[in-house]
Amino acid sequence: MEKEKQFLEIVAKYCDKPADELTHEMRFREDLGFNSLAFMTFLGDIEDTFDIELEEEEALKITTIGEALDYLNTL
Amino acid sequence: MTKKLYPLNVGQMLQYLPIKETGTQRCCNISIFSGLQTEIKFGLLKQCIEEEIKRADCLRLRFTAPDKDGNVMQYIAPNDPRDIPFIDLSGKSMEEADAFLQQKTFEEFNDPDIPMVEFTMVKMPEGYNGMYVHIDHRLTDSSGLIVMINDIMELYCHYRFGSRYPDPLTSFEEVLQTDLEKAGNEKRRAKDEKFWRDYLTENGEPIYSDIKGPKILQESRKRHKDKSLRAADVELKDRSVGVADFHLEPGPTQGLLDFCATQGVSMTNLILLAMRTYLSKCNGGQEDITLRNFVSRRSTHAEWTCGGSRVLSFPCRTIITPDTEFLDALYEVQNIQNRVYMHCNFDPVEVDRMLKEIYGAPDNTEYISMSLTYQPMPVRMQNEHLKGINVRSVWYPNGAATKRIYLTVTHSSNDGGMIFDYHYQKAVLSYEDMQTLYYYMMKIMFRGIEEPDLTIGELINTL
Repeated sequence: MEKEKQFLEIVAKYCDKPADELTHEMRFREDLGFNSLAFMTFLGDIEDTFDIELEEEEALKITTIGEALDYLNTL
Repeated sequence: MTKKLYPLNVGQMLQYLPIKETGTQRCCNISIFSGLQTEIKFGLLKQCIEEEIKRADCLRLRFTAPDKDGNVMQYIAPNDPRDIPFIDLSGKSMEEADAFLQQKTFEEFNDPDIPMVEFTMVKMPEGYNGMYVHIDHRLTDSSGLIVMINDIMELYCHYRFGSRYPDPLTSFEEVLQTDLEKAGNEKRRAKDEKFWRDYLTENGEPIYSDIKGPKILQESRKRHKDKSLRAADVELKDRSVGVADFHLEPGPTQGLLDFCATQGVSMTNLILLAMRTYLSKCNGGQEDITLRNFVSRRSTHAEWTCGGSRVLSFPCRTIITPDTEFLDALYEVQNIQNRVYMHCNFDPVEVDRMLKEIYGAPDNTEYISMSLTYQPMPVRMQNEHLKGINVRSVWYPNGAATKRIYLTVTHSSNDGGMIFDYHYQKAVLSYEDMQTLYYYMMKIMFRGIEEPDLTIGELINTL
């Protein structure tokens, strides 16, 4: 749960929405307004925060917060 | 009280480098007039500008004198009271008034420990009233400046019409501290450095391309007596800048935006594809083209509202064969850009240094002739009290072209169309060259979005 909370707080910084208003169904681009630059720098932030290596191709397939969390849990 | 000194961040360093190279601060200035075609209470506007200087700490940024290596440090002055002068240019023609402001743009901020921004309230011809801002690029980039101008007008509407007081801006100093901390993250740095080294070596040495065709590279090869040279000489003696502006109407602009939205690609990548396709056409179908893309590294809310210079630039190299369909070529550009974006916290000066170290191109040569910056956010007065009033925003060139062709694409404040603003080195290129470049870029984009399965080779043949 701590991981999810931390993840949502990072998402919130990018979309100017409080973390507690974010839901798993929300799409990064369409619902939260991420553009390519924001999404890619966000991925970099995730790597640094959780000290993980993302597979760029896999990460680029992610569209929603839920998918991102599922992917994060596999690492 | 002791000043808290900080080094420049990578974005500021990128702006500072040309000052060190050319010895003139002028090449680091940006200037804009932004005004409304309506009466303005200048006394109130003055108060709002003064308040903005308090709200936006980047406007109070100052620099120390250079040390023995030419490096400067920065600090934020706690307060920065200054006069906000007023000038009345309404009796002049618009051309004369623009020429006056253009001349002011050449003024330099040369001394250490001085304010690096000047605001002037201006009454322009044709009923436009507003402000002229002349600022060192290290204090803000164009995105940050637009945020500040919009914020000043929000303050104005608050005091004049009673609209909501705008939210506070993010502290530049706090974001700078985070930036410097991130830059010191060794693990991230190692990852980025590995990415850039791989990126620069995976396809071998890049090759120069120019809208004037292969003869530019041939001339450099002769000059350096090296038939295999792949980089061309940079114009150093005469850096005077020419400007060519073209306006794409709202209808066609919407067509491009719709295509991008449908295909899930960005406008930046569509424009990059048009630029590289035209270069390919001018260079006998050359498949290997490198451009330079400038991005304002603003992704989080704090980054959007903190001012500062967050523009970084990186090479965008694509190798696209003539049998590649337009849409696939667009995705290729997008894939490259996405990879680059993930590593764009890295110092671009370091990337250039690596390129030089790997391939050893002679000093003052370049692989890239065209640069792009796409600025999606217009100076737009969102406040309901200003809706429907014409806005005039003019960016004045600082007179020093450090790039052969630098294209800035913005969205018009008034009609939602796009403005293609080409800055070019007058010593080597002409206005007519820019007209031709714009014409073909439009042809490539509109033909491509009309028939996305057309191959790049077929598209070039139709031009």
